[in-house]
Amino acid sequence: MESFLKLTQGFAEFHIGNLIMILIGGVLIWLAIKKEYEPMLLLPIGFGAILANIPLSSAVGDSGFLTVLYKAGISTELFPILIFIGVGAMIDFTPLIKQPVMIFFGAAAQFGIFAALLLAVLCNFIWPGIFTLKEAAAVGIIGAADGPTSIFVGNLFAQKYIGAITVAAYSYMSLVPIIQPPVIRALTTKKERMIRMEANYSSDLSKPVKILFPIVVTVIAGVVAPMSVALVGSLMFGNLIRECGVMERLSKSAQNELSSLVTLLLGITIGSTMGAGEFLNWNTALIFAIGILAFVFDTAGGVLFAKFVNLFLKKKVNPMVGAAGISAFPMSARVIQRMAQKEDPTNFVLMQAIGANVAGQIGSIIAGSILLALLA
Amino acid sequence: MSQMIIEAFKLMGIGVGTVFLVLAIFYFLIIGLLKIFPAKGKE
Repeated sequence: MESFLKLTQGFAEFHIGNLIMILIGGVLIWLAIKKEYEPMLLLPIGFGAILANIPLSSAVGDSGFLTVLYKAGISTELFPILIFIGVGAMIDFTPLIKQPVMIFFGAAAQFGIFAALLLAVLCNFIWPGIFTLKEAAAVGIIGAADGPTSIFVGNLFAQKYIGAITVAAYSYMSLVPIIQPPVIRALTTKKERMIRMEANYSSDLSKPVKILFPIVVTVIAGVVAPMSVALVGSLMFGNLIRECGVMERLSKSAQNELSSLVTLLLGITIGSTMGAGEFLNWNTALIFAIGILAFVFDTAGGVLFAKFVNLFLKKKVNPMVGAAGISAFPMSARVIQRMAQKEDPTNFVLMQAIGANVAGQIGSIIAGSILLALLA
Repeated sequence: MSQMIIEAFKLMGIGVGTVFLVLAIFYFLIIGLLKIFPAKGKE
Protein backbone atom coordinates (compact mmCIF):
# COMPACT_ATOMS: atom_id res chain seq x y z
CA MET A 1 0.00 0.00 0.00
CA GLU A 2 2.84 2.33 0.93
CA SER A 3 4.60 1.62 -2.36
CA PHE A 4 1.38 2.29 -4.24
CA LEU A 5 0.97 5.63 -2.46
CA LYS A 6 4.54 6.54 -3.29
CA LEU A 7 4.05 5.74 -6.95
CA THR A 8 0.83 7.72 -7.19
CA GLN A 9 2.11 10.71 -5.24
CA GLY A 10 2.78 12.61 -8.47
CA PHE A 11 -0.84 12.22 -9.56
CA ALA A 12 -2.10 13.36 -6.18
CA GLU A 13 -0.02 16.52 -6.36
CA PHE A 14 -0.94 17.30 -9.97
CA HIS A 15 -3.02 20.48 -10.13
CA ILE A 16 -4.62 22.36 -12.97
CA GLY A 17 -1.86 25.02 -12.65
CA ASN A 18 0.78 22.38 -13.44
CA LEU A 19 -1.16 21.29 -16.49
CA ILE A 20 -1.50 24.87 -17.76
CA MET A 21 2.21 25.53 -17.26
CA ILE A 22 3.15 22.30 -19.03
CA LEU A 23 0.92 23.40 -21.91
CA ILE A 24 2.59 26.83 -21.91
CA GLY A 25 5.97 25.07 -22.02
CA GLY A 26 4.65 23.06 -24.97
CA VAL A 27 3.55 26.24 -26.75
CA LEU A 28 7.02 27.76 -26.30
CA ILE A 29 8.60 24.60 -27.73
CA TRP A 30 6.13 24.73 -30.63
CA LEU A 31 6.95 28.39 -31.30
CA ALA A 32 10.65 27.54 -31.24
CA ILE A 33 10.41 24.56 -33.60
CA LYS A 34 7.51 25.42 -35.88
CA LYS A 35 7.81 29.21 -36.07
CA GLU A 36 11.55 29.38 -35.37
CA TYR A 37 10.99 32.21 -32.86
CA GLU A 38 14.28 32.47 -30.91
CA PRO A 39 14.54 28.64 -30.86
CA MET A 40 17.82 28.64 -28.94
CA LEU A 41 16.06 30.28 -26.01
CA LEU A 42 12.38 29.42 -26.24
CA LEU A 43 12.93 25.68 -26.58
CA PRO A 44 15.06 25.33 -23.42
CA ILE A 45 12.75 27.75 -21.56
CA GLY A 46 9.73 25.70 -22.61
CA PHE A 47 11.31 22.45 -21.54
CA GLY A 48 12.54 24.02 -18.29
CA ALA A 49 8.96 25.08 -17.57
CA ILE A 50 7.78 21.50 -18.11
CA LEU A 51 10.49 20.12 -15.82
CA ALA A 52 9.61 22.60 -13.09
CA ASN A 53 5.89 21.88 -13.23
CA ILE A 54 5.93 18.13 -12.93
CA PRO A 55 4.75 17.57 -9.36
CA LEU A 56 7.57 16.68 -6.92
CA SER A 57 10.06 17.16 -9.74
CA SER A 58 13.61 16.24 -8.78
CA ALA A 59 14.88 18.83 -11.27
CA VAL A 60 13.88 21.66 -8.93
CA GLY A 61 13.87 21.95 -5.16
CA ASP A 62 16.90 22.31 -2.89
CA SER A 63 19.11 19.78 -4.62
CA GLY A 64 17.52 19.82 -8.08
CA PHE A 65 20.00 20.48 -10.87
CA LEU A 66 17.96 23.43 -12.16
CA THR A 67 18.01 25.04 -8.72
CA VAL A 68 21.77 24.48 -8.57
CA LEU A 69 22.11 26.11 -12.00
CA TYR A 70 19.87 28.98 -10.90
CA LYS A 71 21.96 29.66 -7.82
CA ALA A 72 25.19 29.37 -9.78
CA GLY A 73 24.27 31.23 -12.94
CA ILE A 74 21.29 33.51 -12.43
CA SER A 75 21.53 34.58 -8.78
CA THR A 76 25.19 35.39 -9.31
CA GLU A 77 24.41 37.05 -12.69
CA LEU A 78 27.10 34.85 -14.23
CA PHE A 79 25.09 33.53 -17.20
CA PRO A 80 24.10 36.95 -18.62
CA ILE A 81 27.69 38.12 -18.27
CA LEU A 82 29.06 35.06 -20.09
CA ILE A 83 26.47 35.49 -22.83
CA PHE A 84 27.60 39.07 -23.30
CA ILE A 85 31.17 37.90 -23.91
CA GLY A 86 29.82 35.76 -26.74
CA VAL A 87 27.60 38.56 -28.05
CA GLY A 88 30.54 40.97 -27.99
CA ALA A 89 32.60 38.52 -29.99
CA MET A 90 29.81 38.32 -32.56
CA ILE A 91 29.24 42.07 -32.98
CA ASP A 92 31.08 44.11 -35.55
CA PHE A 93 30.97 47.76 -34.49
CA THR A 94 32.35 48.93 -37.86
CA PRO A 95 28.98 50.19 -39.23
CA LEU A 96 28.56 52.30 -36.10
CA ILE A 97 32.12 53.64 -36.05
CA LYS A 98 31.88 54.56 -39.72
CA GLN A 99 28.66 56.51 -39.06
CA PRO A 100 28.96 57.62 -35.44
CA VAL A 101 25.84 59.76 -35.62
CA MET A 102 23.83 56.52 -35.57
CA ILE A 103 24.72 56.19 -31.90
CA PHE A 104 22.00 58.71 -30.98
CA PHE A 105 19.32 56.42 -32.35
CA GLY A 106 20.63 53.79 -29.96
CA ALA A 107 19.82 56.25 -27.18
CA ALA A 108 16.43 57.40 -28.47
CA ALA A 109 15.12 53.86 -28.88
CA GLN A 110 15.62 53.17 -25.17
CA PHE A 111 12.64 55.41 -24.48
CA GLY A 112 10.43 52.33 -24.20
CA ILE A 113 12.26 51.17 -21.07
CA PHE A 114 11.37 54.30 -19.15
CA ALA A 115 7.89 54.66 -20.65
CA ALA A 116 7.13 51.07 -19.63
CA LEU A 117 8.50 51.74 -16.15
CA LEU A 118 6.13 54.68 -15.84
CA LEU A 119 3.27 52.57 -17.14
CA ALA A 120 4.01 49.85 -14.57
CA VAL A 121 4.01 52.47 -11.81
CA LEU A 122 0.72 53.90 -13.10
CA CYS A 123 -0.83 50.43 -12.82
CA ASN A 124 -0.80 51.06 -9.08
CA PHE A 125 -3.70 53.48 -9.64
CA ILE A 126 -5.89 50.60 -10.77
CA TRP A 127 -4.35 47.83 -8.69
CA PRO A 128 -2.80 49.47 -5.62
CA GLY A 129 0.52 47.94 -4.61
CA ILE A 130 0.85 45.74 -7.69
CA PHE A 131 4.42 46.85 -8.53
CA THR A 132 7.03 48.56 -6.39
CA LEU A 133 9.30 51.07 -8.12
CA LYS A 134 12.06 48.45 -8.43
CA GLU A 135 9.64 45.91 -9.86
CA ALA A 136 8.37 48.53 -12.29
CA ALA A 137 11.96 49.11 -13.40
CA ALA A 138 12.40 45.37 -13.89
CA VAL A 139 9.26 45.28 -16.02
CA GLY A 140 10.42 48.34 -17.95
CA ILE A 141 13.72 46.68 -18.79
CA ILE A 142 11.85 44.37 -21.17
CA GLY A 143 12.07 47.43 -23.42
CA ALA A 144 15.84 46.97 -23.54
CA ALA A 145 15.05 44.27 -26.13
CA ASP A 146 18.07 42.52 -24.75
CA GLY A 147 17.79 39.19 -22.90
CA PRO A 148 20.92 39.29 -20.73
CA THR A 149 20.26 42.89 -19.59
CA SER A 150 16.66 41.99 -18.77
CA ILE A 151 17.81 39.02 -16.72
CA PHE A 152 20.53 41.06 -15.00
CA VAL A 153 18.18 43.85 -13.92
CA GLY A 154 15.17 41.60 -13.38
CA ASN A 155 17.10 39.32 -11.06
CA LEU A 156 18.19 42.21 -8.88
CA PHE A 157 14.88 44.04 -8.75
CA ALA A 158 12.11 41.47 -9.15
CA GLN A 159 13.24 37.90 -8.68
CA LYS A 160 9.67 36.62 -8.47
CA TYR A 161 8.96 37.94 -11.97
CA ILE A 162 12.22 36.86 -13.59
CA GLY A 163 10.55 34.07 -15.59
CA ALA A 164 7.82 36.34 -16.97
CA ILE A 165 10.26 39.17 -17.71
CA THR A 166 12.71 36.91 -19.53
CA VAL A 167 10.09 35.06 -21.55
CA ALA A 168 8.44 38.37 -22.49
CA ALA A 169 11.77 39.91 -23.50
CA TYR A 170 12.84 36.99 -25.70
CA SER A 171 9.37 36.42 -27.15
CA TYR A 172 8.97 40.04 -28.19
CA MET A 173 12.52 40.14 -29.57
CA SER A 174 11.57 37.30 -31.85
CA LEU A 175 8.37 39.16 -32.75
CA VAL A 176 10.20 42.35 -33.81
CA PRO A 177 9.30 41.71 -37.50
CA ILE A 178 5.64 41.77 -36.46
CA ILE A 179 5.74 44.51 -33.79
CA GLN A 180 7.86 47.18 -35.49
CA PRO A 181 6.45 47.60 -39.05
CA PRO A 182 2.93 48.79 -38.09
CA VAL A 183 4.35 51.29 -35.59
CA ILE A 184 6.82 52.61 -38.17
CA ARG A 185 4.15 52.85 -40.86
CA ALA A 186 1.84 54.72 -38.49
CA LEU A 187 4.49 57.32 -37.72
CA THR A 188 6.03 57.86 -41.17
CA THR A 189 4.88 58.81 -44.64
CA LYS A 190 5.75 56.79 -47.75
CA LYS A 191 8.00 59.66 -48.84
CA GLU A 192 9.92 59.48 -45.56
CA ARG A 193 10.30 55.73 -45.83
CA MET A 194 11.82 56.21 -49.29
CA ILE A 195 14.57 58.57 -48.11
CA ARG A 196 17.96 57.40 -49.31
CA MET A 197 21.05 57.62 -47.15
CA GLU A 198 24.67 57.57 -48.18
CA ALA A 199 26.78 54.82 -46.70
CA ASN A 200 30.55 54.91 -46.42
CA TYR A 201 31.81 51.71 -48.02
CA SER A 202 34.95 53.25 -49.46
CA SER A 203 37.34 53.00 -46.54
CA ASP A 204 38.48 50.48 -43.95
CA LEU A 205 38.78 51.38 -40.29
CA SER A 206 42.30 51.29 -38.98
CA LYS A 207 43.02 48.50 -36.52
CA PRO A 208 43.85 50.75 -33.53
CA VAL A 209 40.34 52.24 -33.71
CA LYS A 210 38.75 48.80 -33.58
CA ILE A 211 40.96 47.81 -30.65
CA LEU A 212 40.70 51.04 -28.69
CA PHE A 213 36.93 51.37 -29.11
CA PRO A 214 35.94 48.52 -26.74
CA ILE A 215 38.57 49.49 -24.18
CA VAL A 216 37.74 53.19 -24.03
CA VAL A 217 33.98 52.58 -24.08
CA THR A 218 34.34 50.25 -21.09
CA VAL A 219 36.36 52.79 -19.14
CA ILE A 220 34.05 55.73 -19.90
CA ALA A 221 30.85 53.76 -19.27
CA GLY A 222 32.37 52.37 -16.08
CA VAL A 223 33.31 55.79 -14.76
CA VAL A 224 29.89 57.29 -15.56
CA ALA A 225 27.90 54.28 -14.32
CA PRO A 226 30.04 51.85 -12.33
CA MET A 227 27.13 49.38 -12.28
CA SER A 228 27.60 49.00 -16.02
CA VAL A 229 31.12 47.60 -15.77
CA ALA A 230 30.02 43.96 -15.60
CA LEU A 231 27.70 44.20 -18.60
CA VAL A 232 29.58 46.67 -20.79
CA GLY A 233 32.91 45.15 -19.78
CA SER A 234 31.95 41.63 -20.76
CA LEU A 235 30.41 42.79 -24.05
CA MET A 236 33.49 44.82 -24.90
CA PHE A 237 35.86 42.08 -23.74
CA GLY A 238 34.21 39.76 -26.23
CA ASN A 239 34.56 42.42 -28.90
CA LEU A 240 38.22 42.99 -28.07
CA ILE A 241 38.89 39.27 -28.46
CA ARG A 242 37.27 39.52 -31.91
CA GLU A 243 39.08 42.63 -33.07
CA CYS A 244 42.56 42.14 -31.62
CA GLY A 245 43.44 39.68 -34.38
CA VAL A 246 45.61 37.41 -32.25
CA MET A 247 42.91 35.39 -30.49
CA GLU A 248 40.96 33.97 -33.37
CA ARG A 249 40.49 30.57 -31.76
CA LEU A 250 39.16 32.09 -28.53
CA SER A 251 37.01 34.52 -30.49
CA LYS A 252 35.41 31.62 -32.35
CA SER A 253 34.97 29.72 -29.07
CA ALA A 254 33.24 32.72 -27.49
CA GLN A 255 30.98 33.11 -30.53
CA ASN A 256 30.09 29.45 -30.77
CA GLU A 257 30.79 27.08 -27.89
CA LEU A 258 30.56 29.56 -25.02
CA SER A 259 27.44 31.28 -26.36
CA SER A 260 25.70 28.03 -27.22
CA LEU A 261 26.45 26.33 -23.92
CA VAL A 262 25.49 29.26 -21.72
CA THR A 263 22.37 30.01 -23.77
CA LEU A 264 21.30 26.40 -23.33
CA LEU A 265 21.83 26.46 -19.56
CA LEU A 266 20.33 29.93 -19.22
CA GLY A 267 17.19 28.97 -21.11
CA ILE A 268 16.42 25.81 -19.19
CA THR A 269 17.21 27.53 -15.88
CA ILE A 270 14.92 30.47 -16.63
CA GLY A 271 12.23 27.99 -17.66
CA SER A 272 12.54 26.35 -14.26
CA THR A 273 11.48 29.63 -12.59
CA MET A 274 8.11 29.38 -14.30
CA GLY A 275 6.41 27.43 -11.55
CA ALA A 276 2.61 27.58 -11.68
CA GLY A 277 2.46 29.39 -8.34
CA GLU A 278 4.72 32.21 -9.45
CA PHE A 279 3.71 32.44 -13.11
CA LEU A 280 -0.04 32.01 -13.27
CA ASN A 281 -1.33 35.31 -12.00
CA TRP A 282 -2.54 38.65 -13.33
CA ASN A 283 0.84 40.25 -12.73
CA THR A 284 2.34 37.98 -15.38
CA ALA A 285 -0.35 38.99 -17.88
CA LEU A 286 0.28 42.63 -17.02
CA ILE A 287 4.05 42.20 -17.47
CA PHE A 288 3.46 40.75 -20.94
CA ALA A 289 1.08 43.60 -21.83
CA ILE A 290 3.49 46.31 -20.62
CA GLY A 291 6.38 44.46 -22.29
CA ILE A 292 4.86 44.68 -25.76
CA LEU A 293 4.09 48.36 -25.20
CA ALA A 294 7.74 48.87 -24.23
CA PHE A 295 8.75 47.61 -27.69
CA VAL A 296 6.16 49.89 -29.29
CA PHE A 297 7.47 52.90 -27.34
CA ASP A 298 11.08 51.96 -28.23
CA THR A 299 10.20 51.93 -31.91
CA ALA A 300 8.21 55.16 -31.67
CA GLY A 301 11.02 56.84 -29.72
CA GLY A 302 13.58 55.99 -32.38
CA VAL A 303 11.38 57.00 -35.32
CA LEU A 304 10.19 60.26 -33.76
CA PHE A 305 13.74 61.20 -32.77
CA ALA A 306 14.89 60.66 -36.37
CA LYS A 307 12.02 62.86 -37.59
CA PHE A 308 13.00 65.52 -35.07
CA VAL A 309 16.64 65.40 -36.19
CA ASN A 310 15.49 65.74 -39.80
CA LEU A 311 14.08 69.19 -38.96
CA PHE A 312 17.68 70.43 -38.68
CA LEU A 313 19.47 68.32 -41.30
CA LYS A 314 20.05 69.08 -44.96
CA LYS A 315 20.74 65.44 -45.77
CA LYS A 316 17.70 63.77 -44.26
CA VAL A 317 17.81 60.54 -42.30
CA ASN A 318 15.39 57.79 -43.19
CA PRO A 319 13.29 57.82 -39.98
CA MET A 320 12.87 54.05 -40.12
CA VAL A 321 16.56 53.76 -39.21
CA GLY A 322 15.67 55.31 -35.84
CA ALA A 323 13.56 52.25 -35.07
CA ALA A 324 16.65 50.05 -35.52
CA GLY A 325 18.07 51.72 -32.42
CA ILE A 326 16.52 48.97 -30.29
CA SER A 327 18.86 46.27 -29.16
CA ALA A 328 17.28 43.32 -30.99
CA PHE A 329 20.29 42.63 -33.18
CA PRO A 330 20.36 42.06 -36.14
CA MET A 331 16.64 41.39 -36.49
CA SER A 332 15.58 45.03 -36.28
CA ALA A 333 18.10 46.20 -38.91
CA ARG A 334 16.86 43.50 -41.28
CA VAL A 335 13.25 44.54 -40.74
CA ILE A 336 14.12 48.16 -41.58
CA GLN A 337 16.00 47.15 -44.73
CA ARG A 338 13.08 44.96 -45.83
CA MET A 339 10.64 47.83 -45.28
CA ALA A 340 12.86 50.28 -47.16
CA GLN A 341 13.11 47.90 -50.11
CA LYS A 342 9.39 47.37 -50.09
CA GLU A 343 8.93 51.09 -50.75
CA ASP A 344 11.85 51.34 -53.17
CA PRO A 345 13.63 48.15 -54.27
CA THR A 346 16.83 50.07 -55.00
CA ASN A 347 17.10 51.69 -51.56
CA PHE A 348 19.73 50.24 -49.19
CA VAL A 349 19.72 51.43 -45.59
CA LEU A 350 21.05 48.21 -44.06
CA MET A 351 24.46 49.64 -43.20
CA GLN A 352 22.91 52.59 -41.33
CA ALA A 353 20.31 50.37 -39.67
CA ILE A 354 23.01 48.00 -38.42
CA GLY A 355 24.94 50.99 -37.08
CA ALA A 356 21.87 52.09 -35.12
CA ASN A 357 21.20 48.51 -34.07
CA VAL A 358 24.64 47.95 -32.49
CA ALA A 359 24.33 51.39 -30.88
CA GLY A 360 21.09 50.10 -29.37
CA GLN A 361 23.05 47.21 -27.88
CA ILE A 362 25.28 49.67 -26.04
CA GLY A 363 22.35 52.00 -25.24
CA SER A 364 20.29 49.25 -23.65
CA ILE A 365 23.14 48.21 -21.37
CA ILE A 366 23.72 51.81 -20.34
CA ALA A 367 19.99 52.28 -19.66
CA GLY A 368 19.90 49.09 -17.58
CA SER A 369 22.99 50.17 -15.66
CA ILE A 370 21.48 53.58 -14.94
CA LEU A 371 18.40 51.92 -13.47
CA LEU A 372 20.68 49.76 -11.33
CA ALA A 373 22.72 52.77 -10.24
CA LEU A 374 19.63 54.82 -9.34
CA LEU A 375 17.58 52.14 -7.64
CA ALA A 376 19.93 49.47 -6.28
CA MET B 1 1.45 56.69 -4.60
CA SER B 2 1.90 60.16 -6.08
CA GLN B 3 5.42 60.13 -4.61
CA MET B 4 6.10 56.94 -6.58
CA ILE B 5 4.88 58.55 -9.79
CA ILE B 6 7.11 61.56 -9.20
CA GLU B 7 10.01 59.14 -8.64
CA ALA B 8 9.13 57.33 -11.87
CA PHE B 9 9.10 60.62 -13.81
CA LYS B 10 12.45 61.55 -12.24
CA LEU B 11 13.88 58.18 -13.25
CA MET B 12 12.57 58.68 -16.76
CA GLY B 13 14.13 62.13 -17.08
CA ILE B 14 17.45 61.21 -15.55
CA GLY B 15 17.52 57.87 -17.35
CA VAL B 16 16.81 59.15 -20.86
CA GLY B 17 19.09 62.13 -20.28
CA THR B 18 22.00 60.04 -19.04
CA VAL B 19 21.69 57.50 -21.86
CA PHE B 20 21.90 60.37 -24.37
CA LEU B 21 24.78 61.96 -22.46
CA VAL B 22 26.84 58.76 -22.30
CA LEU B 23 26.23 57.92 -25.93
CA ALA B 24 27.08 61.51 -26.90
CA ILE B 25 30.41 61.01 -25.14
CA PHE B 26 30.89 57.85 -27.21
CA TYR B 27 30.06 59.84 -30.34
CA PHE B 28 32.86 62.29 -29.63
CA LEU B 29 35.12 59.39 -28.65
CA ILE B 30 34.60 57.79 -32.08
CA ILE B 31 35.16 61.12 -33.84
CA GLY B 32 38.37 61.57 -31.85
CA LEU B 33 39.60 58.05 -32.60
CA LEU B 34 38.89 58.52 -36.30
CA LYS B 35 40.82 61.79 -36.25
CA ILE B 36 43.84 60.17 -34.60
CA PHE B 37 43.67 56.99 -36.67
CA PRO B 38 42.01 57.95 -39.98
CA ALA B 39 40.29 55.28 -42.04
CA LYS B 40 42.35 53.81 -44.87
CA GLY B 41 41.23 53.58 -48.50
CA LYS B 42 40.17 50.08 -49.53
CA GLU B 43 42.93 48.10 -51.15
